Amino acid sequence: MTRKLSLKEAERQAWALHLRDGLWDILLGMLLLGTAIRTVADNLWWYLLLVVAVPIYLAGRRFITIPRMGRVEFGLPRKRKQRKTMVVLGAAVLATLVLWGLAVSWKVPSGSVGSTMLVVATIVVLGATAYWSDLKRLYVYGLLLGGAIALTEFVGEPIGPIAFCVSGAVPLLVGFVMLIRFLVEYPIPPEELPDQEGLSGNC
Amino acid sequence: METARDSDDQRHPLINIDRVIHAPARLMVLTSLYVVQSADFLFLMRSTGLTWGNLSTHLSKLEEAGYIALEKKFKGKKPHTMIRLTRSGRAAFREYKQSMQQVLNDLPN
Repeated sequence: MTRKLSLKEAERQAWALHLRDGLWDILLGMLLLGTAIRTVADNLWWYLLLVVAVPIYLAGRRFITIPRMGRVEFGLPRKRKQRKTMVVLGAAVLATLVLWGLAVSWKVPSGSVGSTMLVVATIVVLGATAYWSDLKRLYVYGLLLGGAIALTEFVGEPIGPIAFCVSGAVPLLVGFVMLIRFLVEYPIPPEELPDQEGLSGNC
Repeated sequence: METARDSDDQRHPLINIDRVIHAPARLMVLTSLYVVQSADFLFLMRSTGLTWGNLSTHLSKLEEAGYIALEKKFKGKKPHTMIRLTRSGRAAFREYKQSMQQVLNDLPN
């Protein structure tokens, strides 16, 4: 089947190609799972997942993705979308920390209006991120996480923490499957590619 | 006096289509470069599905036409070549797109 031919679609496809490695999913999965497991297992080692997630993502991009997929710099519209995503995610993390701090200090009970707002905010933030980053599977992750938070807040143990762990395990698993497929589909090209010397001399 | 160009114009609008762009492989390369700021050789290979030799030949032709420019950058100590559309390349691609749209729109159903 031929692909849809439009410039917007071409840009989206270039962006999707750039994210085919599954590393973003692995990063999200590690962050969620690290946070989730902490709630069920009282062991500081799980914090390690949170600490190593970003370095693993950056190393993966550098040593796995770029040698196989090459480098690309996107245009202004995509950069604007990326900036919006970063601002929304940054604001969400900040708001979560502030709300968590307030909830702890004021001893807000589970299942309150605040909990409902947290669920809605989670879904909205991940939905907005999915929209701006053209990552449709983020909608599913957002719903899973929103559902897990709702179960944690309104149902409690043991279903809540288990659902929370599942919401982290799903992106992690999807990311690993994508990474394996990426490694098989895109082997490192032979050394004679002109990137090392420049094109003019080789063409 | 009627010039050769004028008589070409009267024959068929497709006669004036930019043949450097019209080749499917080069059209794919230009489309890929049009939607990004710049990309390296490997990314273009992946996004177009062309082989190294094929892509190299088409990039040479596009470079000769002045449609693409090569920028040497350094990533650490390694030189790295990024390819981008030039201003004239961007304009030529836009013109090609409009001409093709016009030709196809004017065809009877």
